[in-house]
Amino acid sequence: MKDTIDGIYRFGKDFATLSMVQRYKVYDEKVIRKGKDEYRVWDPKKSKLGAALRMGLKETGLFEGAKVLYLGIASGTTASHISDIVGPRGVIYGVEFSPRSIRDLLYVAKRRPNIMPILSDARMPQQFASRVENVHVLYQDIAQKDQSAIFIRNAETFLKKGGLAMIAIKARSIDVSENPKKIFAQERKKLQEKFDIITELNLGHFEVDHAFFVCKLK
Amino acid sequence: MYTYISLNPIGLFAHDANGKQLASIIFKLDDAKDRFIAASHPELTEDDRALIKKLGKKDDQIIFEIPKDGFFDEFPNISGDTIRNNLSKLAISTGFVKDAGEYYLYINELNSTITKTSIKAASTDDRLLVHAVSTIDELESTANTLSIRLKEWYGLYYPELLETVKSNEKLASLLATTPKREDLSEDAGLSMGGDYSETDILQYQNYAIMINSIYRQMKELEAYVDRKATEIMPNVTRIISPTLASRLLADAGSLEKIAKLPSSTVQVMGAEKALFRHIMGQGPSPKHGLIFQAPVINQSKKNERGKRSRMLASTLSIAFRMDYFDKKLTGGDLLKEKFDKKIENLKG
Repeated sequence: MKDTIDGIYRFGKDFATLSMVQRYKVYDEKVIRKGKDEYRVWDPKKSKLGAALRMGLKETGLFEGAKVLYLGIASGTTASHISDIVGPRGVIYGVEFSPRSIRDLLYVAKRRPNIMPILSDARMPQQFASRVENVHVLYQDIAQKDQSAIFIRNAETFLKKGGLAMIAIKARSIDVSENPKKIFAQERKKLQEKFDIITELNLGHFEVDHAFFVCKLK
Repeated sequence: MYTYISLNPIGLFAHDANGKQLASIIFKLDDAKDRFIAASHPELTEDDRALIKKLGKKDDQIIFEIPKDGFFDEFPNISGDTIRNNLSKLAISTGFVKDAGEYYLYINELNSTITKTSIKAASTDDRLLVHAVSTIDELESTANTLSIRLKEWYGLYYPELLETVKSNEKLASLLATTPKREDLSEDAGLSMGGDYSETDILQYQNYAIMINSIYRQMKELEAYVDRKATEIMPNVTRIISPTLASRLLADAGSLEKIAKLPSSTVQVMGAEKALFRHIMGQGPSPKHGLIFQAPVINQSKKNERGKRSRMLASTLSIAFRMDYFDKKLTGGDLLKEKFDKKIENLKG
């Protein structure tokens, strides 16, 4: 067990976070107990950030006490691990468009008060801006055709100076028939207009036809 | 000169174009939630008015960050940007809360409350219909699976019956009341099936009662779906049957979604396999999906079906929009009339 990246622990090839809430599972994740501590193993098949870690992600920009804006938080699988990392002094503003998904998130947010559930459209930051603040990290996982544009807009509005922005891009939701490599190149170009790209990963067999970018605003 | 106003969970702030704070209204923690929710609507609240009053009678143009009746809005504006960069510290320095812990508990509660209200508002009648349609499909497939077992099982005892009763539904309803072969036929004594005890036969009956009740519930649900579809889609159901209307609705997911779809999508809904095969360049484009079930299409000549499908889909799109945006619109009749005329012209 080594602390490799801020707040993320390694157990063999698995990654895990130190649970903020004892004896409470968010999804059916594996739990490793060390004395009083509970480490929740990050399932790379259920979380794209988890998959990115397995594919060699080294820098997430997350730290204890960080403020995060999470677009497309869904029912809080990935968010629960981010919640562990940022801890009680950190905060996650979780924006989700689907009432069904956010219904599950409400229960997670009750146990983890650092998650703020916001039912809104990430495409329209005007609708939720008055309920959030500027953040250290932007994380986006939404399967939309214009996901890069949404990402840029939100980063320009809410990302603090020097903050990191992560995005998982699903090629199939941009164009089902185009070659994913071509799509990633085209999205990379869009991102490079506003960002310096720090890391680019392919999520491989964990999430087929997905790319993961870590960027910094220029 | 311009004055910019922004709203946030602790209150309202006004800044000039250089980001200098001009005035503010800070809520009290006890009633902050209600005041915030009120102020996030387009109607001007007491707090909005109080802030504008504080600004004095300057001739400044006031610009909000969210839409407000009678005012301009710009997003993001400098007031919002300034506040959002420093919000949690501001919450403490203005005395709104005593520490960050208290602030974020409030933010969690505020967001949870607003989200719960929105979830409630999203639970509309069309969502019920979507689930009812899926339930019917699932009940049907379940009843079929269970019936296969019933046939095999009962075939041990009285196989001759299975030759005369072919329908699963009939078999279940028959065995639910009269499982004994003596009660079913006079020739039962000649059956090639085994001779089983009362207890054995009782098991058939119980199983058949259960399957029969699945069929009964399916019938009830079908009637319910028809009623509900006519109620929430009055215009669409003038053009196509309630059953087909609710199938289309279920495929799209909600009335809002289907109302916002282009009619070319409505046309091929349910034919996704063929559509994607076509997009990948390996086949012709599908002419119709679910809407094929409409008699106006499936009872027409093959070479007319493409044209008819396009016409029906575009007519349906308009009808779905009427139903979503304003149910009181009774344009459905007119729409139906026009559609019928078009179809007739096609023949001539």
